[in-house]
Amino acid sequence: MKKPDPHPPKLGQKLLSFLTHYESEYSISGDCGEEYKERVRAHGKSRALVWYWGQVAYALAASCRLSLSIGASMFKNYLKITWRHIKKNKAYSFINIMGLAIGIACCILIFLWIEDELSFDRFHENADRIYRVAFSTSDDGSPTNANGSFGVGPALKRDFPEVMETVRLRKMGQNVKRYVGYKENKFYESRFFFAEPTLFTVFDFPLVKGVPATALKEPNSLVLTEETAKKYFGNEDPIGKVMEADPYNDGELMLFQITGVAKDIPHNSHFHFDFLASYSSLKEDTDSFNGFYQHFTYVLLNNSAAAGSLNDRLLDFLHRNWMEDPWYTLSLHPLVDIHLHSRLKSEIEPTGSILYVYLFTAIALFVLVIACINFTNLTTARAAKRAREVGIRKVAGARKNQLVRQFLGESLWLSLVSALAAVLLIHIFLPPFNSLTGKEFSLSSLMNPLFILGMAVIVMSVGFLSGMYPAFFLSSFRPVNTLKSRFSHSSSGTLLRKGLVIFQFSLSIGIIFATLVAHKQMTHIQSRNLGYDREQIMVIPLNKDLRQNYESVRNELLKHSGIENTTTSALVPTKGSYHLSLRFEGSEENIAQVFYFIDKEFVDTYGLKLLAGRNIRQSRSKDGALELLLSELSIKEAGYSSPQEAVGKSFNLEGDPGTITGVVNDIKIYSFHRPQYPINYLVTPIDMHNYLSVRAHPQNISETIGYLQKTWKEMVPNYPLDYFFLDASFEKMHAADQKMSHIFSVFSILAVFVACLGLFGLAAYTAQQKTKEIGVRKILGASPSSIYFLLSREFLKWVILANIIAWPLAYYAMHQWLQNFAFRTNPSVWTFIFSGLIALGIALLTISYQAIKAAASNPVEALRYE
Amino acid sequence: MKELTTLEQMILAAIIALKKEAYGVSIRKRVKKMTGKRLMYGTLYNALDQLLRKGYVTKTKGATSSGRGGRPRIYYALTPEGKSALKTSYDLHRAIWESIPEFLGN
Repeated sequence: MKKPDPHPPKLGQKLLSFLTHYESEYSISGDCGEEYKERVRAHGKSRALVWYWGQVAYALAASCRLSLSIGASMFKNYLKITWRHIKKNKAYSFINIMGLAIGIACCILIFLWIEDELSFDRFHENADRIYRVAFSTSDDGSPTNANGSFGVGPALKRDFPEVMETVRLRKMGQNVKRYVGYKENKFYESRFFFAEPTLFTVFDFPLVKGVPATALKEPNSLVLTEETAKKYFGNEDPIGKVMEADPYNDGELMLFQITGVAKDIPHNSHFHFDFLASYSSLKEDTDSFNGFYQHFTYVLLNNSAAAGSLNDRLLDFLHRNWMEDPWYTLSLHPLVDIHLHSRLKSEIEPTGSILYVYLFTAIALFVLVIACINFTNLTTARAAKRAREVGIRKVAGARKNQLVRQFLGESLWLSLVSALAAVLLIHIFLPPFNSLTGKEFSLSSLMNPLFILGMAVIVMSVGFLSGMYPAFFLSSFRPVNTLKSRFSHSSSGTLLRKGLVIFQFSLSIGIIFATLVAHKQMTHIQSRNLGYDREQIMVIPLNKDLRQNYESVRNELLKHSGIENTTTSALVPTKGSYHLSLRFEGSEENIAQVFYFIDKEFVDTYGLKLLAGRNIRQSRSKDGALELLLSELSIKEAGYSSPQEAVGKSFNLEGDPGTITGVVNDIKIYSFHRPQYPINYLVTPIDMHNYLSVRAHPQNISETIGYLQKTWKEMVPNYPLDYFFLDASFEKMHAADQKMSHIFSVFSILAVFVACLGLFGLAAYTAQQKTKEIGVRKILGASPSSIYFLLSREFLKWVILANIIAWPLAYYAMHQWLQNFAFRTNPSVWTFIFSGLIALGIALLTISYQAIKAAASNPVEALRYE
Repeated sequence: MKELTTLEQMILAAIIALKKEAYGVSIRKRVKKMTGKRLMYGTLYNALDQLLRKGYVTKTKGATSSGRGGRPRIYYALTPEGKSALKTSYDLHRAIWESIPEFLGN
């Protein structure tokens, strides 16, 4: 049987055919193919292939060289002309280059930020197959909680073959700090986790020391990160050392032996641990399906497609393993979506938001587009200046497409120069950008092929986008017209220019509007009454020793005039909540509400207002009934019409009866993204409490802290003092929003600045165009103010039109953003007017320089101009 | 008139030698046989392109033969201008060398 003819590689053939001027007129791919076959027979396939590719590569190179050599002399001329233009019109060139450079720099910086946001959790090799079990308490089954109950993980693995592995992660409370000590190094730590040994197989957290398979196997094992190891052990080897910790904060110190040191966690992980204790050290019943804890379950599936079908079977799973009528449901969420798409409660760390990714992409593109428009506008506006050149070139035989190429080449050159300037700008502004975003970018992170490719794409598209119209516009001039007389600008050009300026300003106004709304929302959050005195409350975690002699410590503290009151409680605002269900008198239904376990000084220390009844003094009254303090919102949920009506009513708390003694105002315990919760207060013994809150007098706060430290050293010598201020803790919950709002304002200022650069250029051009007109007018007695008005009138018309276009769009966008907050302001009429006025004001200011210069000029000079 | 480059001379000579059978593959082989030089197809076609533009060669499309991926052979032939240009460069070379017989003699 005859062997089939050997065929040369398809790609090679394509490439050769791509050189159309070879292909249409010659037959290079045919020739190469023919000889390739001979060579396969003579020398074998591999040598023939080498030969073939050699021919292809050379032909490509030769073809490029050919077209270059033809174009080289012209190219040199273009370059020279471009350079002369830049030098001759320094101001315009500066505006163009500066604007484009800012635009490109913004794009690149934001590109960096977005790339980082998108990279979250992707460093795990199995990232695509890891899912987190989300819990839902909502009626429609849409997920509500990132955290959940203990027992789900192992049962999932048992029931479903698709689930290859599960990891359970337990943290003690939300944002809480717990005592950890080794010899004299004692700290309160917030990133203390318990984890199953499978953590190291499912996730990629490499160990520097220790064996991943066994490090978390035995009870009371502990893995530290490198940084933490350094903090406690310095240069000592921590392996085998024993640390003490009080993760439950019940005063019973647990001892942990260190079995491993993990590499520090990359910043783009959705959670970071400093300590990982073995899951088997937990004291809770880890098979239970009941209750929500700061407990997270991850599953590794055998293929990522399995998640969909698994989701449908999770309700059955709960029926099978738990109860007929489960009060929560489950669903699986991709690990890589957590950072940008999770809107769940009780995330381990605050997440980002995809909305911001969109928002920033938009603003980066806006700045770039505005800069491109500047270029287009200034070039077409000043077309008259180059009309003669076009005329001469055409007379000398230049074809239209050559001219198009020349002008496109020019804009590409400018765009390239701007890109270089942009790199310089980035170099200068990277540190402030880092502090603005809280990330750590460096110039070296820009030196990757993807970025260089992106940069090339930006340069090309900016060059084409901004040069396209001017190129065709300029090259279509008729040489006779341009050479015969002074060339006046065409009306079609002006129309487009007007349209573009209006568009530019619409963008700017939209951005200003968005900034104003964001700022308003942020102030709204900060100034909003939380229901308690957040200003001067210091919070200190309790420990065993302090609980034992709290009364004497309290008395000692109160001796100082700067300390007004102290209280202990299980939780403080911003640090989580307990949910219990209770039944009010006159209702059949159990409703879940937030409970605060406090002592009798809480209401006074936090400055809560008693609306009805009396404060609680004790856990139970003499008849054994629980004493309960309600908040306004909880009486609404209970169905009472007024605080007065609620007082004296009875209730049943999971089987324990009691009476309502009083009603206080609502307080805010979470961020403004979350709704207000109804909160009930019960007095409980100090053993159940985790925090000591101290209300200090605003004056001499540092002296008060000094006193506190001194007292602490004397009375609680075994534990370090750790404290935070409630207002700082509250602000931390909105740090991400603040940061976004800051980034947003910076970039919006840039956008407006670039738009103004363009306007400045256009105004200068208009003034120059009208030099003669202004001269004549002045001679005929026009006042400077009328000249000023003449020049600015047109621009103002544009800006006003831009306002009308921008308002509805900006309003819609910001409305979407505000939906993120449970407590939000609404943009008032003034926000609209204000954003318009700002744009108008900036535009006026920009034009004024040129207008005043023109109005004040000597008419004689202007008329002698000819 | 611009003189022919050595490459062009080689190609033109090869086309003449090949008579009616001058197309890409055969030209390249002929050049190798004549001078020992291996041309790249890219070089060959760039040169042919120039010659064509100067009007020294013409081309005709041959039949589509098998084994060329459906590409026809393109056959080349010299035009009278091509012939005279080649003749001119021969004359030039001869003149150069004949002026220094002692160089060749040694």
